[in-house]
Amino acid sequence: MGKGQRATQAYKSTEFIEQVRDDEGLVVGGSPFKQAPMNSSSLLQDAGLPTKKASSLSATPEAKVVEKASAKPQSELEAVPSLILVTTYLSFLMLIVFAHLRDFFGKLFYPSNYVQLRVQNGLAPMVSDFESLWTRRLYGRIRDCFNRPITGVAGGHVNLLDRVSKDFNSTFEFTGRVRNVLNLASYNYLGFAQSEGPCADKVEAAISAHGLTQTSTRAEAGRSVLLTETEDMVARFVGSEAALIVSMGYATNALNIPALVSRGCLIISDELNHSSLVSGARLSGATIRVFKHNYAPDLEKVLRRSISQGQPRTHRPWKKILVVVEGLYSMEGEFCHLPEILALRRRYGFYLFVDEAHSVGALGPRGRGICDHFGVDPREVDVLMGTFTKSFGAAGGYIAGSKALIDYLRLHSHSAVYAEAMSVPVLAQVSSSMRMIMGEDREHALEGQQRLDQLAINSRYFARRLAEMGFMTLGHPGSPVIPLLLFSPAKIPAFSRECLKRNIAVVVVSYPATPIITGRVRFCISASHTREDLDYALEQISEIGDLLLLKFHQGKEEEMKKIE
Amino acid sequence: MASLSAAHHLDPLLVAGPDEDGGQRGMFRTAWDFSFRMVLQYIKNSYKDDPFRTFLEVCLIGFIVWYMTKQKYNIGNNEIELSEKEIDELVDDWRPEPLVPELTEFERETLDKAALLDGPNGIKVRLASGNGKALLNFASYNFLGFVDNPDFEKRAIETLRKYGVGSCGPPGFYGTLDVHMELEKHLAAFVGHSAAILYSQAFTTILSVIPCFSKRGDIIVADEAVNFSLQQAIALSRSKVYWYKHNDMADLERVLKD
Repeated sequence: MGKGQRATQAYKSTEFIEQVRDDEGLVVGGSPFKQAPMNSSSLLQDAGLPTKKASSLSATPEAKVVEKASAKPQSELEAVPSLILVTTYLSFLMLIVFAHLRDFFGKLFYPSNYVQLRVQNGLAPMVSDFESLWTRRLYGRIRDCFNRPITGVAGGHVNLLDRVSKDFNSTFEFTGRVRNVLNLASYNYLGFAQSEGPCADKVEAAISAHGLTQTSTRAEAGRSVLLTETEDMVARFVGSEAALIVSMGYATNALNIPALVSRGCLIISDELNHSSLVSGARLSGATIRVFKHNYAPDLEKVLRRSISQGQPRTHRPWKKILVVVEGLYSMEGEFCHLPEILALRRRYGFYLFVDEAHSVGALGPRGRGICDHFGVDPREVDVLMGTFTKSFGAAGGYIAGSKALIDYLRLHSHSAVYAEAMSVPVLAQVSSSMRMIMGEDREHALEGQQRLDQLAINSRYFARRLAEMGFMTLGHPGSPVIPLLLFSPAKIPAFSRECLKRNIAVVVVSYPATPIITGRVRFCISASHTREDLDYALEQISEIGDLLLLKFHQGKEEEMKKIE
Repeated sequence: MASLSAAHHLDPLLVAGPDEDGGQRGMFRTAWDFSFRMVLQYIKNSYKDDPFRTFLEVCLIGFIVWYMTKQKYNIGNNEIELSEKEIDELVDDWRPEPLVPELTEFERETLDKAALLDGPNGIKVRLASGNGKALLNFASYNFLGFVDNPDFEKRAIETLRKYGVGSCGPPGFYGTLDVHMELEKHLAAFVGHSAAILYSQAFTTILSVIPCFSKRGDIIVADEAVNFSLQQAIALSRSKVYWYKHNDMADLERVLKD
């Protein structure tokens, strides 16, 4: 993003500069948020938008009850040609065989390389060679695709530090070159990752007024006026009575779930929940059961069986049942079927915990998350959790719920008692970006809504074009996270390196974050992407798709339209 | 095969004619005799070929008999079979505890009386409820007095103008900044080791590292008075843990010897 005087002046100008948009609503030329907001109440009533597009765009703000009610699970994976599955399994088999062979011969001929896996000086090795097989032999081959260092702001474009490895990814050296690449990888949904603009100004003011950190846990001497004001704002934003802010997103789950449930309680969690939720559940000591990903009839089956049978072996009734789901599953790009789960909640009486790490700020016509998207009352969900990393450009997380719940957590949750309170600059960023999204910031009253609409338009456009090209993508329409399936372990690093050659930064994921055969690349769309960015990306991805034979669904466009 | 070859040396009794009783009973007796004689022939032949084989077969049969008659215990399901109507009734009857218990008087007062600070948290603080008086702060961790330092604030603002506030992603996915790597190098040099890794929160650092290396089947020896984060990490790792009395080296020696 440009950082000169001219850009800042253009931003602060009070004349309304017209933003150039094309007929699909995408911003053409330059960054969308350097110009002052438009003088119109809604993006959708722009002159020149044909009515057909306006209706499809107005479908976004409509709160739709679940698109595919109770769809049978894994409907999309059945459409994969069996050749692809067979070759994927064979590839993995070959890799594992080679890994074992190399270990065997390596220990025979080069024992000095394996010294850390042997007993030495009477001390056992830190990791056994079998446990670390994956890390050394398989992940080690593609290590250059992960942990890529950057500098500057991770906005729509990011500056990547080039590095090379001369010893097969064991160590890296920096070449000294800095490359500006298109960023389809960072969780920057609303484009708040900026070092200029109203949010950054407010953060600077807060640092000067309130210092840098709180240096204390919240329960001791860390409670400040800034913190309580931000917590109240978060509660208002989400629509619940009170909220509690935690300094780290992962810890929000891992340290607060043990405060809610304990031994003698039951946690029913989705198969594909994030590891922070799994950590929290394991720490709590409660019994854990899983249900099929996003499939409410299976949840009902598990509930009926659990409530009627009671605790294992003693058959006593459960003290509490907590059902844990995520608002937007980031590896699948799917929303949870919240209305169905709420219907089950009314019937069976469990407590519902929704992790909105990716959906708060990004979903819904007003950006309030999954409850806004489905049009349900947020008070029906017992515990709403979210993070500020993704849509607000800050760090940390929050838990929102009824006042009694939050008061209890303030005293008994590990994060409130043992972990430090959130630092001042991050709080100020959260507070100013949230104010902007809610439209309470008088100078930039429309910018928040603009960003939300832009994100919705961008993500639908990108997903539609990818599906038209014949790629196999997952996810519900409207999700800002779009995973594209790669399957074969060789295509995973190939895709990442090809994209980097063409100046695009993407995230590839494979086992253990996803099931072993479905390796994927995950695109995160941002409101700060312009039409040129997206078109360029789509062009390059199409080329790479032809190169790597990724267009499984070419010629099956009618089926793809049905999914949308 | 043995029985087929045995057929060549048939016992004359095997092909005996019909009995004096005749008819069905005769057939039955012949069949019983037939199979009995076959088994006998089989054993005779196998013994003749290889005595060890017979021994092995006897052991095998003995093992099968022992296993079938052994008492098995069911560690899996002891689920009760219920009809749908009964399940519905149980579901209607079940009343969960409240999600969080009511706060006691003491807890309510603790919460209400917690200090609310207004302004920077340094050596002197102001309370929001107070009348703007500056109070000496003996409550926060500020060992070296770095919290109020204006140089650090200036440096922080410069960093803000270059990097923004958040990293927009975990370190694995384009969240590793050059300043992170620089800090890790400095930390390693400060402590005197070769490498360091950075986490966002102090509590979860330990929670993440210990279960990474110490799993079920490993052993941890820990001081009784370690802080809460270590206790949680040890519980999460599912390793066998031996506690020794706080700061008592003799007790530690006893634990290690055992």
